[in-house]
Amino acid sequence: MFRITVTGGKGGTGKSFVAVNIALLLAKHYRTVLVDLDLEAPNDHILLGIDKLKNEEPIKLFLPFINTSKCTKCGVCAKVCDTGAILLPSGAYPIIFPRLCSGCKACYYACPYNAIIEGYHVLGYVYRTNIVIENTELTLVTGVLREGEEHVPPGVNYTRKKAEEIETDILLMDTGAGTGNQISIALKNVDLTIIVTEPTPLGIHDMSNVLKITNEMGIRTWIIINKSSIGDTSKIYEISEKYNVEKIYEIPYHRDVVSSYVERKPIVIKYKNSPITRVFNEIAQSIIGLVRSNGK
Amino acid sequence: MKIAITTNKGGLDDQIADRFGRAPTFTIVELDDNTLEIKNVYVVENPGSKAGSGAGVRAVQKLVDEKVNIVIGPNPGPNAYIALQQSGIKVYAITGMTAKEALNRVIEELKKK
Amino acid sequence: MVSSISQLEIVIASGKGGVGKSTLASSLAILLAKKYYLIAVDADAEAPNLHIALGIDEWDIVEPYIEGRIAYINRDKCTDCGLCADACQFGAIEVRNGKYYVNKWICEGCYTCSFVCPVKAIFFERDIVAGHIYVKEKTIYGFPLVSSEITPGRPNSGKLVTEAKNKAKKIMGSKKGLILVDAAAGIGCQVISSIAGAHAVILVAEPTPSSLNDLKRIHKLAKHFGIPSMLVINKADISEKYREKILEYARRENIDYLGDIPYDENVPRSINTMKPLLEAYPDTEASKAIRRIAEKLVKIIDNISEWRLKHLPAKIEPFIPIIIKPGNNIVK
Repeated sequence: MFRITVTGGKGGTGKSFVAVNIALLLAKHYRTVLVDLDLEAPNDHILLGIDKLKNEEPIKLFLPFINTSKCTKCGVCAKVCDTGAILLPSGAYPIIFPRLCSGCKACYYACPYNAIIEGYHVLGYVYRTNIVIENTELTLVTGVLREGEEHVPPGVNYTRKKAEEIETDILLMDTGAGTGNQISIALKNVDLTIIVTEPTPLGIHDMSNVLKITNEMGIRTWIIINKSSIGDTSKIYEISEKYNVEKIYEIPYHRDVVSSYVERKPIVIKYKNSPITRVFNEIAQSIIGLVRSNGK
Repeated sequence: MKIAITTNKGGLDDQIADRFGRAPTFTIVELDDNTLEIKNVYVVENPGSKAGSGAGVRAVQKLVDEKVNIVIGPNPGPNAYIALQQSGIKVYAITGMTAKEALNRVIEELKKK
Repeated sequence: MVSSISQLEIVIASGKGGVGKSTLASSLAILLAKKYYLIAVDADAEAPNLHIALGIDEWDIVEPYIEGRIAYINRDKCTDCGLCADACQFGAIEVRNGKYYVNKWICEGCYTCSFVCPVKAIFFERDIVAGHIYVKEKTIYGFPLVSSEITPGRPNSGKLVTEAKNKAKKIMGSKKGLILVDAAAGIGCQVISSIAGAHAVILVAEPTPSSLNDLKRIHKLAKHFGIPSMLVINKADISEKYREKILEYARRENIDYLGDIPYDENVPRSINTMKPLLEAYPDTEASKAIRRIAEKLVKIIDNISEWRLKHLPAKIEPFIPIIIKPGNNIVK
């Protein structure tokens, strides 16, 4: 399996736009799974014009329950809880605060009396939708966080694990915005990272933050400068050199992009002659070159 | 009975802290159950002030461990609120004065009952 | 001067990002600083951007913020049994050539792996720089800015927000004035911490169904703390239907409505100029609207105690969590 992660830090740079279009081009040649790991606001399916996601499965996050027949109210669980989700009122059994619980299971393993039962609460849902566009088959795995839930990393971990269970040649992950550990989970053990940025102060700032992680993790990194015509790109090239970026591509701001968003049709399908499609084809060819040489 | 007051540096002359879960200290006052006379005053650090998350719950756990009956301070946040309810600790939401002034007000209230 | 509350803390909050909170925060800071002694705080540690709008590229003080733990496996003791990797719920333990390592970019330091390790091979690194606090003692607009940022890979922190606010209070000392806070985004600990201790909250929403949802959630938080709220509707003309719904909610909840900011293309344009909107496009519709909002805000600040009494939220119903017990589907 060849694994690619598309990420970028700042929201709105066009990560999903890039992920969706490259996935479609790769899917013409290899079995491809596209994974939408933007659990707070997934939109790959929207860009693909999909109205209904299929095969819903709940993402279960561990939630401790106290087995009162074994619990001695010793309070170890409350002490080890890293997020302050367990309270031991005096003379009473421990109380769990579900919204604070990160699902780490420390209490479960630490309890000297095995008095913690594994329960769960529904963090969100994973979907698996098979798509066919102009005879190209693509499998889309989507993770969604339930409203009100805030623990993103375990949800991302679960969704990625589900996607990895599928027999495929290429796994392409589209992350959410940010530079927290939910992004690092998607960067583990990947063959290529594509950072999508834009020539604005915030875009460049976030790109640098992601580069710190990919560089240290020793991952092959490419950069796509989206909307490259709106600002000064020289800083991006400068910073990229510091962080061993292998390739840099530019996608100018173009009307075709806006049209493809509005019509919910990927640009490589609807506007095959667009200069944007040309860049995507170049990128896809480079990736295919890597896949072949990796022998995967 | 014990009454805790959220404070900054600590002590009855200190101003009431403006937040509950991450108040730097609790000033704890021991009162005679019948006469409500002050028998002892001491200051403890609030573990909630050191917590990355779940500060409110940790603050309440400290109050539970100190066997506090009543706490005086600003309105607690959503998690601290539930924790206090579950622990049976009563809250008097008072700010903008010294710990001593607030304590006196609450003692007045209690004497009426 | 700021009337009866000598150090007035006003927080600008919105729930999820992208509704224009920072544009409003930077503009209001500039306008209010003309009248009051003001310190701005950027509590949006995951994506701080007030300093960009205010044209700051160098800080006077940069302080590391230490928090948290990262696990590491002592290779001398480890038997590569893999129990730790199975137990880690975040996927932070990886195998390379049959040997187990902790990925420091993922580990949240929860201790779970150390409880399952049969040979006690897991230790914790504690002096983790989880973020930074930045201070600009005087921006070109005359007021100090305290900013905060989480180190990439580290989990969100309510304490970092508190530290940033405390820094601002330290700078303020015993002076009378205003602390204007650009709150963190989301609904977790970092937001709770942004709002705790404020005297007033300015809620920012845009007329969309998701923003209305976020508005209700964040207003609920303000109600918990007994903090009165105001409302600004950004990009107000994109949907009359949802604008009405938001106003209806505000009316019902006694939220003081400050006004609309119309959709204005010069707003995103100004973000790229590294100048605040009011300077880059002073006569554009959004700038005019913000100035009107600032005028209303000044009147409120000058009568803050009275205003607070009028808009104090009603007592909140206790929040009862819904959980599913293991084994069956009984709702508690």
